[in-house]
Amino acid sequence: MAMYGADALEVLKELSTATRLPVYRAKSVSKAVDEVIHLHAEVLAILRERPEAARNDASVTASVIFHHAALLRNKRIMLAYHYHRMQYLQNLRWEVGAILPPDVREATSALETGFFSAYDRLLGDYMTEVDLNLTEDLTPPKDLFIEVRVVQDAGTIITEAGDELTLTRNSTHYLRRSDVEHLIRQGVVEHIVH
Amino acid sequence: MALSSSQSSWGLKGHSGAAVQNNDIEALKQAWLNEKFSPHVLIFEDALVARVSEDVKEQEDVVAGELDDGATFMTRLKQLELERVKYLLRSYYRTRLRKIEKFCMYILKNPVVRTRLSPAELEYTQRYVDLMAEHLNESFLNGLPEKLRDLTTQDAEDDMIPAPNFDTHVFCKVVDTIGTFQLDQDSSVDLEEGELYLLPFKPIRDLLLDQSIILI
Repeated sequence: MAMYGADALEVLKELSTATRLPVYRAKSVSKAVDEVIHLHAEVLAILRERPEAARNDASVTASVIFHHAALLRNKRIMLAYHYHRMQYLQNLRWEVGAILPPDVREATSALETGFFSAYDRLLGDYMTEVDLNLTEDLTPPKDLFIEVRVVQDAGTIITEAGDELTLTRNSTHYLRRSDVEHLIRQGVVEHIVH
Repeated sequence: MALSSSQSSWGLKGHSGAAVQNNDIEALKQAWLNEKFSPHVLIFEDALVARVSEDVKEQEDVVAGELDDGATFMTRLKQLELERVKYLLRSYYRTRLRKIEKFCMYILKNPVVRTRLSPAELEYTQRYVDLMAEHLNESFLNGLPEKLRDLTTQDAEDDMIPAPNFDTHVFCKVVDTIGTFQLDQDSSVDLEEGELYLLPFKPIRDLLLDQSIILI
């Protein structure tokens, strides 16, 4: 082991520099957990076998403190790692909607996928409670209607006014912004700016 | 607001006049701005939010009726104005949720802050904390030695709970003259009505809660 916490730090760095969500590093996580268990056992062993030295001998005291600091650092890095991935998934729920894009789905652990669904339910329940879809209007509205071009076939949608509309590729439409805002964020249609 | 003249033509039934409507919108806008610039969650404006939500519903019905008769230019203006009000409402809820998620554990452990949340928000906070804790526990904390599993404590009690940063400064405008106000032991400031100040948040947070100042 080159340095305590090295593995854990590596996955956190990978996460902080990535532009898309990197694959969940289950192996590194369990390695970090093993390391904490190992360090913890070391600390306990020293305290049990040489309690006097741990208190009076500076080098032994330093060893205890060092091991303890290393294991706490491992834990903090792991907390940061998981927490930031959770934040990423939460933001996706706001920006893209209730369904994970395929590349993100592949990058998440089973637990993370579960977290995403649970967060979706939580937010859904709250939005029902306040009777307003809060994920609309992420930016202040400027125009009531906008012109959009369909980038990929998206079947039929029903507009707020109750009209049916079939979105075929390359067709353009002049629609209520609120009807297509989520489709723009998903990349299904694009906003035509003149 | 550019469309304020169209607001006065909303002609709300059951209200004492358009002026009331305008005040509510203005008040909501200010509550939203305060919320945006304040580092911690403020008191939920439940009566105000309820009134505005009800007005929005009412106006949506009116607009829908007018659309059935054929859309006029005035109808479009009303629709746009409605969208703007709805943006305010949504953004107000959202801004609060962001802070609630960020400081969820701090909020739950602090009885005074809890009372500032609406019942729905409080439930959200509780469920969110549970969800987060469950995820972290199952992902790796449960694998750690028992003494190290705690989510909120490292060395001292609850030292890993993210709390709002009160040591920040905010721009504010004084609504009612307050006079000499003690910022800390060494410095004080004269707060005059209508004047703008850049002040440390900590000493003035109570002024914000009783609305003698607003954030800008």
